[in-house]
Amino acid sequence: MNNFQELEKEQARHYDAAKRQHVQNNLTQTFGLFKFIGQIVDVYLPALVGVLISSVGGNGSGNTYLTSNRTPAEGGVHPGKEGPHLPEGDVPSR
Amino acid sequence: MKDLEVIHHYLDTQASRCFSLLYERYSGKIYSKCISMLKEEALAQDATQEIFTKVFLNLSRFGEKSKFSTWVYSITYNYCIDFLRRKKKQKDIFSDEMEKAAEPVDEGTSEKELLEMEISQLKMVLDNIPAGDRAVLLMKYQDGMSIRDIADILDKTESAVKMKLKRAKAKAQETKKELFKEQPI
Repeated sequence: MNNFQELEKEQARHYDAAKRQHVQNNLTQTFGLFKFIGQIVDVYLPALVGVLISSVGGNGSGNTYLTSNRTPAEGGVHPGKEGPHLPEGDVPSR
Repeated sequence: MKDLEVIHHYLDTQASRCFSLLYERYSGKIYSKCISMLKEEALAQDATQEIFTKVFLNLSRFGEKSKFSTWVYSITYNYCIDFLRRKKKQKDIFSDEMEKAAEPVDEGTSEKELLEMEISQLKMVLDNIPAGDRAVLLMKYQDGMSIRDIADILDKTESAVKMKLKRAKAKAQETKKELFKEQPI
């Protein structure tokens, strides 16, 4: 261990139990808050997106999207060998 | 339990035990670096908290390309450098020091003298040299980082880091001479 590392050790000793605990408590509170905000977002964001879509005139329920992602076994429509059709009048660009 | 195992377990389970384990392992070292860089206990304590918040919020981005300790210390040094930069309203704490830096002396001699300083002297010398010099000396001699790692952290080239290190050692030697004039070096 060189003198730089000994200095580090000595300075770390000044980070006593009280300081250590104080910072740890603050961190626990911060992460608890982040977790809570994350849970709120998880629960309410999909509903909020639905409301926003409805308010601009779309189908806010999201059912169409969910149905189209289902496999035939889950009750979805099989797209067939050719896959889904293009919307009418839409020409793929090259 | 190794650091990587603790990290994977934390990412899988968010277990507070893993958080406590990493905090126990690194908080003292982070605090020590913060106090070396910022020189104030209260600032160092706040910085330790901010750095841990950054570490845990970005834990999933740790790519395992370097050691976990190197990654944690890079966050620590960058935090301190940014803090000092903001405080001084200076764009780059490394750039204008290059102009004022002492002339490099023989590398072998300066390194030997640096590593032979008493701890109290070393602390005073580090407190009296520019923050950029302090940071590279700590990275090299306290953390044992390679030139490549230091260059990555500071976003400089390896040759720029080598030159910076050489000048930092010379500056430290010069500062020691000024601070402890009565003691022959």
